[in-house]
Amino acid sequence: MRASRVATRELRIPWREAVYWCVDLETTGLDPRRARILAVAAVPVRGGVVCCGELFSTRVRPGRGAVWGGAEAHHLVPQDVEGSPPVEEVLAQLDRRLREGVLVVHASQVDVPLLRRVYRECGRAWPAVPVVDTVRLLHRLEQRVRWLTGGGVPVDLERARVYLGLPGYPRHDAAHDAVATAELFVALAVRLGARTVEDLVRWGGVG
Amino acid sequence: MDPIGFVRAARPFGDLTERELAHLVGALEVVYVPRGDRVADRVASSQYVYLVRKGAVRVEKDGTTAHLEEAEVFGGPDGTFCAPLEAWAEEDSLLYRWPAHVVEAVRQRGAVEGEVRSGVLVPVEQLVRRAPVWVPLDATCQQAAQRMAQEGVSSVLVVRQPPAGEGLPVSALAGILTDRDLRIKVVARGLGGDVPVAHVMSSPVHTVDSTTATFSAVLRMLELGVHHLPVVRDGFVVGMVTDTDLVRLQAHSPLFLLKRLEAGEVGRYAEEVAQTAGALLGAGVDVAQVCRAVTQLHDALCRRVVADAHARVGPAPVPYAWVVCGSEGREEQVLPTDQDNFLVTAQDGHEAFFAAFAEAVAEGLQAAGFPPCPGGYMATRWCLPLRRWAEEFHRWLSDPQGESLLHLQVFLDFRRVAGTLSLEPLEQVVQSARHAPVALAHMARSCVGFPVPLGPFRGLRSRHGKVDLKGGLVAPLVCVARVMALAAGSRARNTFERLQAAAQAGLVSREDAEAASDALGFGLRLRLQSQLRAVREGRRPDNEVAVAELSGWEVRRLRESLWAARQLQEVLRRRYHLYLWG
Repeated sequence: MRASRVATRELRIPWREAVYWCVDLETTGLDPRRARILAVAAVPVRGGVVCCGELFSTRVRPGRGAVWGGAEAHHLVPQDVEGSPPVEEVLAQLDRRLREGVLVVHASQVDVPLLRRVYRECGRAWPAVPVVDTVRLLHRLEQRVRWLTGGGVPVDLERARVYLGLPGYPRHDAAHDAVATAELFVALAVRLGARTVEDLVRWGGVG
Repeated sequence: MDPIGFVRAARPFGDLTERELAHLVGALEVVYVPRGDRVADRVASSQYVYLVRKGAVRVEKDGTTAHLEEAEVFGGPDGTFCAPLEAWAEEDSLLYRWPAHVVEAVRQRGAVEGEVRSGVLVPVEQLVRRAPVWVPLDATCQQAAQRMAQEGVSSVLVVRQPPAGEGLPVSALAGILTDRDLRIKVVARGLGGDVPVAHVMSSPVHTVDSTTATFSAVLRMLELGVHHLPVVRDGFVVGMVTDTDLVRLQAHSPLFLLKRLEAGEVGRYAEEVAQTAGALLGAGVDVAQVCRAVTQLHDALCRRVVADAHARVGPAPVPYAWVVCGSEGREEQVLPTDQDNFLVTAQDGHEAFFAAFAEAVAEGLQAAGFPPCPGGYMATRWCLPLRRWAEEFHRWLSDPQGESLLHLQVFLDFRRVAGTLSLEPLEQVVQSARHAPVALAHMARSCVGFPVPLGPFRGLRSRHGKVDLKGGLVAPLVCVARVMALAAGSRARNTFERLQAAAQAGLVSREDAEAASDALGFGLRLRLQSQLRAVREGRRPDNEVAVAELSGWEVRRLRESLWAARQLQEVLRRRYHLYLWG
């Protein structure tokens, strides 16, 4: 597990004392080897509180040769991102934030490999921070409640939020999904009874 | 809905421009608090302004409790949005919060009173419009009346000596004189304007602290039967709050109804008290406090009806006590239900008078919306001299089975509402019950007999999709608390107070007592909500709720409450070894 590159003792602090950056991407597709980033949003959780005032959200100019796709999910058309900064610039701003603490993503299998590829393409080193996937935390919750309720826990962001009693956010863009993920993350940490960062990394960490 | 859309729709701070909204959302923090955890203490509630995004929050301030739901606001620096207070999550809750200064920059004046239901928690100080008006102790009534007319106020404070400095210290207050005093004590008695105020003023003066929540002030006025309360900050009187100020703050205020009762308008009482209770509950007032306020109204109505009865049948030949019992005696009745009352006279020999008197009061109560008791627990049947009552109580308590047990379950919750006769001898008999463990065990056995509708694995056991809140939840708790209060030698009548007394006497753990109190509060609230809905829809209110109509968390709370009731029964079962009795 790459998370182990962070000293284990650093993970043994109460979970609320750590900083988490919850990130959401809008992309041109679901293939992490080819998809380009169209929008990025990141919001921090400090002291267990989602700090919307620090929301970082921007569209990204995908550059030449982008195969436009995924519009059914992100509802963006090329004109929407024309004047936006290029990915190198956005990554520099994002990177500063990610290095501050734990990276939290909902459904990491596309976003994390894609981010790592973009880091590589831009000649940047991937930050040595633990990565927590809220979908894995939801699986963990399901293991706990299945024998009680017999039912499963939904992993889709919107339905998982409803399951945990969080309000619905009908709009889908990177900024809202980042905040939605952050709220889901805090609710899960509380519901699962996490004590340390290590608990969250053990239950929801991805390599 | 996204945060900006939600804040815009909730409009907690008045109409905001796009810039102001963007400013708010830019500083927004999101907090998630699981059920039962504290949202904010007194410090945090002053530093932040909170907006309930999802869930339910209970806020407490100076003994007043309010239940806040989605889109409601609390917190903020001194005074705004009712801080400082303490807040707990009643459900898993998501809250938005802002550092107080951010909200202060965009808050529209007047937005608080108009749009936030937590108006019942606004500190009374915010209602003070002007500095207090006073006259010296040696002033005459005419001088006082002139002063009141000049200043356009309905009361003046009477001070022992004119204050030396700027403010008016509380210690200087000798009394208070209101326009009512002038009407009733001066003009109606044919006295002249040269009567010294000292002869007709009310003394001592009841005051209220400036940070008191308005609803606490309302309760205080109801309990003291006064219409004016000087507001005190740091030992100085800063102004006056009147029932008119408090009525203005809230439609259907209990004070409004009290005024109508005092004016003799009792005809539509049942309907009006239901509206008042509904408005209080809707304003987020805790159900125990709604009960307290409504009890004061019921009592005022009863005294009014008693006074009217005297006007019909004449004054009583000997002292007496008009006593209410059952839920009214416990101060837990909200909607008028069957009359439960009895009469205690100082001595026998006046049966004919008291029979006519009881009949007149019963008729008056019926006209106001309290139907006669089908079980016959009414003063028209139960009218005895004090000595006989004491004997009866003694007899029932020494062998509480069969009919005696039924009598005790109604009569033990007695409370005098009108008349002057002291019931101390009855209290003594009741207190002696704690030395009769066998009798207590008999009573305990009847309490554990109430079946709590919980199935195996704490599942709800409903009949035709309905749960009986009275028989299944409220009655077992009331019954157990009554026995525990007897065993503890407590004089409390109210079930919440009895549970507290039982915990203090070590008869039940503090946790179990608290869980039982919460369960009772929840049961009373749920029942009242459903009864009020029935009244609005023109149906006959009953004690059952349809499980399908409850939200997920209400079902959860109901199960927990029933469990708490069963636990309390278990405590009694263990204490009196009722397993052996079968």
